[in-house]
Amino acid sequence: MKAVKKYDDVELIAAINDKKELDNAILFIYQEYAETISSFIISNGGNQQDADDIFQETIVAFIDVVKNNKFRMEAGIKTFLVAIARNIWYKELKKKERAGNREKLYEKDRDSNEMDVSQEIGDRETKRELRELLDKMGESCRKILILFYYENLPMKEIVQHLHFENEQVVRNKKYKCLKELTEMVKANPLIAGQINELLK
Amino acid sequence: MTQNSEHIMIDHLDNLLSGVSTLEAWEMIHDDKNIAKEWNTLLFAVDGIREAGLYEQVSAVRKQYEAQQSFATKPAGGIVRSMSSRNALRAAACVFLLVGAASIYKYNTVNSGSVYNEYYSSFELNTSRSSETADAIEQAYRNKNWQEVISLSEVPVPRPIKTEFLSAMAHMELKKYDKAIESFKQVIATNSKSEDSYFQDEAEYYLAMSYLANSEEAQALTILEKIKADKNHLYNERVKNMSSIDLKVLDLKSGK
Repeated sequence: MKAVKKYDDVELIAAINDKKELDNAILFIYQEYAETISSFIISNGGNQQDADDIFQETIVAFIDVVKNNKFRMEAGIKTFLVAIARNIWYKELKKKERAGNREKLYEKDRDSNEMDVSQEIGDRETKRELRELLDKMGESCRKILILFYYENLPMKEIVQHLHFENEQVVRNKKYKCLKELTEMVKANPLIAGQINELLK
Repeated sequence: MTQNSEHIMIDHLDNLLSGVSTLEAWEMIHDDKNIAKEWNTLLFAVDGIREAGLYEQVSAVRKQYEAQQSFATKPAGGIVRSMSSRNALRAAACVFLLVGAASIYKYNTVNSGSVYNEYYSSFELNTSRSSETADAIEQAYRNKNWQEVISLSEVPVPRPIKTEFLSAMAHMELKKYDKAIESFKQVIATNSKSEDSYFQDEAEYYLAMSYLANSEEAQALTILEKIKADKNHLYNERVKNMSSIDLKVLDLKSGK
């Protein structure tokens, strides 16, 4: 296997906050913690596919926490990742409405000393719904919005990346795409409900 | 809400306002409940875009990790049963033979041509340009009229980058890989002189594909490795999805 750069906890947090290092940091998290999280999910009623998907969600949630300066290093990264995976997995179990007794059993068996990360990771379900709205958009809109708001690329580079005629064409297209996305946000009952709550 | 206030909010969101304009935008959001709602909707939308971008990035690394895992020897999961040393040796011999046979098969069947055939797909011009604004060479390219593309690109050098690139693609479609390589290199050279990057990513990727088609594995692999290491490269995802085993076989055969 290709050797991946090694990080201690402090270095890993720094790497996550460094755009150029982020890929290496994610690969390190996979190589270092995938087995631990898989074992946890599989021993709590999931299969390998669940384990892989939950770990991916866990990494996304963790990076989000780090980038928003909500990770205070009170626990090690491994403990924190397990706590996130547990939180996401129990919610997933509830969502899938697996056998009611089994669900209760898991809840009952939970250790009261378990780390609670719900404050740090916030509402993952809303984030997932938002992400799925992006998936429903056309590829060109999705790309423009991600290049601009996630990759923070200047308009000039987006023009070159996507071969538009000039910056004004991209600016107009980005405006239309953002408008389309906000209409989809408004039409989503879960998210629209949260926006209305904020304004009360 | 007026279209003007919509534009102001988006400019505010994109940090394009300054001084008094920023204050006015804040006041507008604070004083008008409908505008405040619109503002929050925008914030949620951008949150979703950033979530989607991050998810996409993690997803790409996950694929890379899974490809690496397929190389690694994993310990058998599930129930561990005791096995006599004789049976264990037999099982090990079978695995060894199977892996050996698979490796020999892969080594014999994978070559630059097979990798090219598996991963080559034609370049599509961006459909966002209307047919009225497309020039003659673009029209010929869209019509897959490769000879006409080449004829139209026969203008004095230095040729415009788009012309050079489409000419290279047309040569590639006609399987004239030497000429394609020459033109792709020209696109890259022109960009490096002007510090521009028009069709740069495409030229690099299709240059690698032309090298593969021309049985120049070492040159192709050098470019593919560069693309794979550059997450912002337009073809990064596509190269990451190429079979690592196939590329490893090419690497061995090229003696790089």
